[in-house]
Amino acid sequence: MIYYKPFFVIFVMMQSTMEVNGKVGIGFRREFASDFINSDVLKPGFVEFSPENWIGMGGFWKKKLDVIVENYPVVCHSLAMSIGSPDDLDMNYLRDIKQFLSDVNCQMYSFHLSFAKCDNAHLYELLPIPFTEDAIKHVANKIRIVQDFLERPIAIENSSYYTPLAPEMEEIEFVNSVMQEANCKMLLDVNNVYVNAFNHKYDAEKYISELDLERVMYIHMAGHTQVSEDTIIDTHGEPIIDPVYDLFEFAIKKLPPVPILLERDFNIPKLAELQQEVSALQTIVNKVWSLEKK
Amino acid sequence: MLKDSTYKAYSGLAKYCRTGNLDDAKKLDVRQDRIHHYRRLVFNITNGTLKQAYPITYKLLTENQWLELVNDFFQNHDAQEYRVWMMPKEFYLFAQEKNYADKFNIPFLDDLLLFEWIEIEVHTMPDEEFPVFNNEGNYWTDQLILNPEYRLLQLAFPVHTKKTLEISEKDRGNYFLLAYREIENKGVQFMNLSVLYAYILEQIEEGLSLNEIIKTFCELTNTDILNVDTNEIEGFIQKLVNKNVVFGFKKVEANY
Repeated sequence: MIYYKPFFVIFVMMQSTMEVNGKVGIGFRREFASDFINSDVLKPGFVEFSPENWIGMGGFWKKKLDVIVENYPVVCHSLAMSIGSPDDLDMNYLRDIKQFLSDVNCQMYSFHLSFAKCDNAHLYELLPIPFTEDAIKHVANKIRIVQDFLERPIAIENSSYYTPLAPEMEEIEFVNSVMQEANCKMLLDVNNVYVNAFNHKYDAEKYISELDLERVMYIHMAGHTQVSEDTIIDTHGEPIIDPVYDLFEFAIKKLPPVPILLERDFNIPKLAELQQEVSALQTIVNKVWSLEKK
Repeated sequence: MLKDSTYKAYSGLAKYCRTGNLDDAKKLDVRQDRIHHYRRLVFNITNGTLKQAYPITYKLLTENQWLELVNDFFQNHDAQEYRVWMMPKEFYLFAQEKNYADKFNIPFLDDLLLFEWIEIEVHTMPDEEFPVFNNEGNYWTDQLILNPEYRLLQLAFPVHTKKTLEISEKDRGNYFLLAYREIENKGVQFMNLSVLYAYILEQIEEGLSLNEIIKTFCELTNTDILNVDTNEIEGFIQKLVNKNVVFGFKKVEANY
């Protein structure tokens, strides 16, 4: 009989309880996977990836993912949940997600408050949900089902959008109502707030102040691209700009420590440049939340 | 329960994104000056994913042909795969079903799409548990154990051995191709096979020994078994062993 826990079990337990709050993580991309694994240039506090990019995948990329899972705390963010879709939930998909989250020892799970599937067809892009009363009830009900099925709290992300769709109310009312009705957590994407405030001409700080901030358990940060005088597209293809850093600092002053993620999906620079952004975020985080601790 | 008007808003936006038809957009309660961004973003994801999956096909088709096929797929096929990297398989099946090979007068189009898809499929296929095997055995009498991470294809055109611009109707025939994943670096390798070697691989998978396979092959093809070049077959098996396509010999369980 073994009277002690094998070392690997202790290691796994330590991994599962590693603290990610107050740490800055990186969105894992295949484009930099090998460099990331084979060097210590980029030093995130945790790694986020999308289950849909990895579920059912073996071979070369699975080996890379395994290295990440062994060495970093993992957070997952779904792209295909399509929680706002008028279509029914795909229970086979949910089963895949549940298994995957367990396999990678996922510490936190989130997805967008948007839809990416309609009339039984996947569109692979995040589309805006109509800001309507019936959509609130519809979406909140689906979130509750997902939460129950996955047996874990989930966070929904405020999505960027370029036009509202048949709106009956403002975005802030819609987002708060969905969270309240579903009793779920929030992933606050600060860049999305900036993009939406610019595109729809509202006050970003006022928006953040009016959010139900007690529900925020995770933050995303990213860059964007201004494509015309009055339009910004949420590309994740540029470095974070100063006004978004400022908005980030404004936001986290209102929050207890939560994990922060740097997203970079296109025009991916050298790892040293990504690390600079991670460090810049960590500096703000340390400044704000260390002060709070004191 | 969604109101009919809310559902129509959803459905209308999705439809516009798939068609790019501005008349569809005009029916929507949206900012008309911004709605085109969604069509662009949605279409670019599908188009970009397909270009990446099928670089040879993309290069072969004219820009108009490519866009015709992609638009037809995007507008008229309801993508079922939630993983965008798996969606190109649906594209291949769609092009085959809609007979684009005839439409574009490219008889080898289906084979080319399949060839390109199989590389992705083998590269990304879930890891298989490797079977146990013995290193020692007899090629002819023992059951051979294969690396399970492979696909065997039958093609009508030599898309794997000739440049696309050199392939014509005269090349139509029976071609066999082994695509397998290397066990160490997990890269994909291809091996052109004769009909006999394709048959051998297929039957090894079924659990037959080489002796049994050759006997059956000769019966099926009315070939005199004495005419079979056993050295050549052994050389082929040895090549598969060297490339880790054949792992070894079936482990016989001790029977106490």
